[in-house]
Amino acid sequence: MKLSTFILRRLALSVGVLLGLSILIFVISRVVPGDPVRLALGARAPQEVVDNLSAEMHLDRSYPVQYVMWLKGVVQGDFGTSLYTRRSVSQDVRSFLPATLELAIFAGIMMTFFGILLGVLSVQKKNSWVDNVVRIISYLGVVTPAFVFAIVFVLLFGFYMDAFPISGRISPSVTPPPFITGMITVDSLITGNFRAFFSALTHLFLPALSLSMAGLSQQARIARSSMSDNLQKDYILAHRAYGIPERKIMSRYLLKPSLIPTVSILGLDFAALLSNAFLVELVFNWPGISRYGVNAILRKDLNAVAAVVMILGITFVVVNIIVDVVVAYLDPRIRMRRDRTSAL
Amino acid sequence: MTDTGKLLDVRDLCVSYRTYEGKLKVVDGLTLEVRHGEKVGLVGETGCGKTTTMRAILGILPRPAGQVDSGEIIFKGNNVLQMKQKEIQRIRGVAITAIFQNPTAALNPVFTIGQQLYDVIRSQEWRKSGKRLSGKEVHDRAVKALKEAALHDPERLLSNYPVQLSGGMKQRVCIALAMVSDAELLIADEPGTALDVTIQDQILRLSMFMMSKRNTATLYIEHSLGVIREWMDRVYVMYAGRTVEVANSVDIFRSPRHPYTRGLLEAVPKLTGGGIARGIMGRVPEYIDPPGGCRFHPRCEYRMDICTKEKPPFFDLGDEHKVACYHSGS
Repeated sequence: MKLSTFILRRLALSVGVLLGLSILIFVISRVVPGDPVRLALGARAPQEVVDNLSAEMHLDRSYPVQYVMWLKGVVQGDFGTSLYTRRSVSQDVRSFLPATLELAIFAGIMMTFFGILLGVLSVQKKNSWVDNVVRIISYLGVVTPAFVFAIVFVLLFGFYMDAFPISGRISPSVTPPPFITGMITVDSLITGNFRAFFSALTHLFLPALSLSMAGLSQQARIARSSMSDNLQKDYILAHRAYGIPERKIMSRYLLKPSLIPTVSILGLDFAALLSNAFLVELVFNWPGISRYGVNAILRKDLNAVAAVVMILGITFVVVNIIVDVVVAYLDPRIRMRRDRTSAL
Repeated sequence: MTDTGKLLDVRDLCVSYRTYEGKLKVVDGLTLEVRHGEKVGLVGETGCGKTTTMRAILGILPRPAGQVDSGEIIFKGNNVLQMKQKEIQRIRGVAITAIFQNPTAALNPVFTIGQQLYDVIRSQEWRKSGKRLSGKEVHDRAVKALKEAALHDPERLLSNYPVQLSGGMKQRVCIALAMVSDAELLIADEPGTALDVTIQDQILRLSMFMMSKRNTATLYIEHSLGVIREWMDRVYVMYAGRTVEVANSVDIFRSPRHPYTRGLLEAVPKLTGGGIARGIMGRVPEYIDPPGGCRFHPRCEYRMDICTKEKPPFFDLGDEHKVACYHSGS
């Protein structure tokens, strides 16, 4: 199967996944006990007002009708209005989502890059002090929650060393770039505003590092174990026996097969990033969608909850498609296996 | 037999693996030699250290667990064990090459046949002459090597991944990988074992034909005696990490002397009937605490007192037939 066919198939499958997700989210948001409209308007609001708002938001219709109306809006990018702010939820999402995406993407890059780098170092210097340090860091990283790292980093790098800013997305003294993608680092690069870029990057560093520690540790551990497993494989011995230089064996023939398990787990690690983002956003006062989402849940702001969950779901699906495609690119056996079964 | 005739001379080789259970002395005093253009068989049952011997000679023991404890591996007059990494790299893959037991494991699953073959051709030419080959030259040599290994449609094969090929095709690719080097010595580790019997024979004939054509010396590691009888000049019989008998391939079948060699020959089932073949009682010993003296003594029906105490030396029976056994030697 060609890689393009593989991608198309994967996209088609994910439409089904998203449809299922939308039904699930809708049902959950509607079956929670308590009347959200009554909650929004307060106990003393007259019944008439409550009924009016219910009607306005189509909450008086039957569930299937409500679902179809809601889905119609979602497909057009309209998630309805918030029960509290009466603003469009899509507007809120547009202003909060980029901050979280920026944080998660940056943390994802750090986790992949540094994780694999540590794993490679660890294998190259197996059983040396480098290896031991990496192993200790990665055990700690896996068992320590992200917010603990966040607090420790704030104290260490922000408070005692005063090396990094500990709050917000950009210095108040720097003019932020115009809203293009909403990710300040990207926008400032597009507009060529390097001062803003640098400021945003330093603000991004600590939250992204705290967020990435768990995934980074896992990546390092998996990279280390898969590389040291593959190092014993016959094909590595054969490459040596046929005279391929050791450096090339390490950087090419050992690395590529060893990356397959590491990349495969990236999708899960990225999901963990999104779910851990809430506490990190709280510690660093980062105006992201996770905080918005948690507030919406606490207030039973139906449309906002559905929007946040739906968007995080879409992000997760997209990340997993990318991961699958990269794995299929790295591992011909996956492409070929599909080939054989489809021929049957 | 002059010294100059020796291509490979392995003397008293000892190889061990460090494991959690302790040190495994897998090869313990192995002696063998291969002369220019000669075909030498190395037989012994599974687990007797054949593959370890091959890896030690090629310098590809799994690191850091495997290590050579003592002995000499002399290739063309130089001790490989004392060479620097750079010198070894001038030999490995260039003057000594190998075919592995399981072609599926010996090919990297995530690179195409072409990528692997090109890299081998390039690095060998670089080692040999310091020349960098152009892309077209590399490609032409790869196609030629695959054709010589009797593979059809080499152009398409180059862009295939190992998973797309059958076992026999993969082993032919491995033969091509080994043959691009014009090596003086080929070490083949049971190249047919992982294949169907019919394919096994084709692979054998192909590799032997190519060896003879180039006059490459061969160390053929095998547990099947039929192969040895048909193709080899001389045979070493190995038991639990030691050479126990050596003879030319006629004598070893006509007058085997070591009790283990005899047992090995009797254990071959015959197509002409005559009941189930006799086996050898017991099994290959543990390597953590191997039996003292002759390592075969716990399974030997001719055991004498001295066998349990002292390692038997080689007794020369004339006509290059030697045996390490107190019972049949003296």
